[in-house]
Amino acid sequence: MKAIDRVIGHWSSHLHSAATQRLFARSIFLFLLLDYLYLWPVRSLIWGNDSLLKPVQHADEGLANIVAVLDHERAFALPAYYLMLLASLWCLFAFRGHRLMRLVVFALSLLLYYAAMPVFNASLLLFHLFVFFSLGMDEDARTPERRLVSNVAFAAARFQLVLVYAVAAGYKWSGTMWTDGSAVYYALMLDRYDALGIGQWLSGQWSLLAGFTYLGLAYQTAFPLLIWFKRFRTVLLVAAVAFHGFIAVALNLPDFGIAMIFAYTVFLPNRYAERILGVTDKWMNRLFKKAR
Amino acid sequence: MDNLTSTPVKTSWRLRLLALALVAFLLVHFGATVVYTVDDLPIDPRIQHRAAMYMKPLFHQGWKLFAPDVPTCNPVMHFRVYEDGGWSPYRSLIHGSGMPRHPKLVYTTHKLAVYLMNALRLRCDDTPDADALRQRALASGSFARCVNYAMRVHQGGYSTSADSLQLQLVLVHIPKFNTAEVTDSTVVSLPSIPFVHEGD
Repeated sequence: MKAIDRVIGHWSSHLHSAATQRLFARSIFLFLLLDYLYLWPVRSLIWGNDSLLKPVQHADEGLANIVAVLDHERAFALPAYYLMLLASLWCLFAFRGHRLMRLVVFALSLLLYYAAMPVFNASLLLFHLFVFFSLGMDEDARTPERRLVSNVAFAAARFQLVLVYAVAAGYKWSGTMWTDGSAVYYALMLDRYDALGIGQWLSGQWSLLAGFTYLGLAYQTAFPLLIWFKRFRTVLLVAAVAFHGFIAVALNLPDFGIAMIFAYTVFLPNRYAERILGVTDKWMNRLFKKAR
Repeated sequence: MDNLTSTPVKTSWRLRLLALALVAFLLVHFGATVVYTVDDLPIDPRIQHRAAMYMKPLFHQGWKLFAPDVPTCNPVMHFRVYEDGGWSPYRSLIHGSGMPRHPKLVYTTHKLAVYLMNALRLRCDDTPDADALRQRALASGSFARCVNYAMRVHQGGYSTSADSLQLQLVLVHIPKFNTAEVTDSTVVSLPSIPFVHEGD
């Protein structure tokens, strides 16, 4: 029992990586705000009454139909979109009641996603999960109970990110293209990811393309194993920014690349998070002073 | 920063119960996540069904990112309409005339083609059976969604007097790795559907 109490004491006595928790929470809502703002010019075509996307018949009952409500009730979809932007902004600036507002963001983002699934990629799904875990996070926790919940929620967000890489790497090892070196070539040649023509440009550079494939596989395999060790963390985070920067540019997936880079703040060492928050807090204070 | 917020804690039963509840929740949640996201686990189908019930729709996720293998063809969707007693030429759904050139719309069009390919159970190296494809198309929500998308694109940029619309899916094969050998595209014509005009 003493050993268990020691563990509970460790998890409830103080906020683990307090600055990182705060920065991670901001990153979640900044990403959601940017991701939805990016769709502003085509919001009516996606969620409006004249949407390009016809409602899908859901075979499932219950909750599946409830979250698909905006798919069928288009009149509410655009107001939900505007509310989503406001709620994300509210959470980003941590205005009063922002923790309750996170629940609103979770609900609205799910509804908007299920009304426009083909528009989004997996990055939004990952951020839904992060918003869910952020419901437990309390960067100002004062009581042991709140600190325990906040630390556990933060650890769960970390574990979720690691799980993404572990599952993705496992699948890649089970195929043939990642081990024969051809996967990056075929990915770059897919129309939906090759708006810049980088695939065509690199076509013929077989050794280089195979090198990219093996680097990608090595990184995705190493990440879930090594990220838990502090000595590897900074190196892995730098590699992560390079890896996802490449994906964002070469595969024309800016939202996915930015999402993953924002997601990595969950593993950012506390001292770096403190520095970033120092700069952003100063900037935000100035902004609000001007507004006043 | 950590040390500033640190206070010694006397472990109460309330805290112990809370810790137990959190651990139990996380075990169930991540257990369900693994069962839901990893295919072919040697697990009782009833447990898999329960995991899916828990995960969908709130925690839906899938991480087969370019895995296990990357597709070796590009599905490209075209459409044509029957109007004034004849079929129009096939037109591309991407950058349809009158549509905004937003990258997300281009991405959406590509993704709808992928959804349709999956719904029709087409593979890059398949020779499709026309009758089976027709039946699968008519029963598929993805096909209905693509038809609606094409109708909206048509109405946005062309005439509105069309009688019916037909989709065509072309699987453009990517030149082979290492040899750049090219193979012919596979063309799949899908059933024509009466045109639904806005307000019909």
